[in-house]
Amino acid sequence: MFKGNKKAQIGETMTLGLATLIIIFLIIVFFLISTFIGGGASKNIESESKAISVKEEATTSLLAYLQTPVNITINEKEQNISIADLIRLATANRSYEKVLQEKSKEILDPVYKGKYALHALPLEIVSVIGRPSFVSMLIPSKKPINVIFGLIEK
Amino acid sequence: MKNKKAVLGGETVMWIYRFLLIGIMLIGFIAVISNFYSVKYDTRPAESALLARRIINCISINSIVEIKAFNSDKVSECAGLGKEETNEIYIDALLNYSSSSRVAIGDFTLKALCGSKGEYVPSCLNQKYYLLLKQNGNLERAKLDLLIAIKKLEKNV
Repeated sequence: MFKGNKKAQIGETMTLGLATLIIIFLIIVFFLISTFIGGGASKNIESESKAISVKEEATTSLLAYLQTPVNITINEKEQNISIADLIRLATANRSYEKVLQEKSKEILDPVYKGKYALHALPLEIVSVIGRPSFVSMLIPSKKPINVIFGLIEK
Repeated sequence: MKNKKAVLGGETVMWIYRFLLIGIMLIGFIAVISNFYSVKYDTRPAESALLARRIINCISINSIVEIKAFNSDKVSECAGLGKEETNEIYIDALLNYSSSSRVAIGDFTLKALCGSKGEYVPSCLNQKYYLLLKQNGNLERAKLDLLIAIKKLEKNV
């Protein structure tokens, strides 16, 4: 009889001890989770803001780039057209690819000093180092041309 | 009699244990909540990104700036800054074209603190835009360097 009671007491004590350990363990886990979630949210604000500002910068610059007037020679005649029209022209006649590339560098290099990526079929200027944030715009044409422009996230 | 004493002693020990457990749980509960809510959120990078967007969309239409629209009154109106905020914010916009034009609003001392590290430094955003400038009906290439420095330590951190 005495022997049985002692066993029961040991069992009860062990259960309580184990329950206490589980509670302490859960508290530590919740504490770590709250630290992780809180810290992550703070970092998210910063990285999201950076991504938004870089995309905004790229969108504004891409829009201005497409509207930039350039002087080029078409059929031995000096003409003033926009970059968007030059892209259309280069898509139809690949001999204008080089002119497009030169003019694009002339426009964008003074601002971004080569730290950008530009892809406008058939032109491709990729001189970017790092993780760029891309934006794109469609130029209406027989077959719409997608112009992609990327800037590095600071 | 002996048994009764033992029962009473056992019960007392159990009550001490229960109170101890409740104490541990309460402390844990408070620690988790205070740890979660005491994290500092710096919303100033988001504010400067939004402010830059607001200024650009206001002074330019489809990325074309009119030289008349590039002055401190217009930029200040675009940013929507109140008197209180001009002490906590610095906006520096430098427009380079065949000539150059600068607009600076707010506390210029904040600019000097940009790039330095520490708890009481402003949050700074440097943006470079390629824009077109409309002058006498002609479009000219322009580069806008925009710096926004926000202090607002009490409100936004």
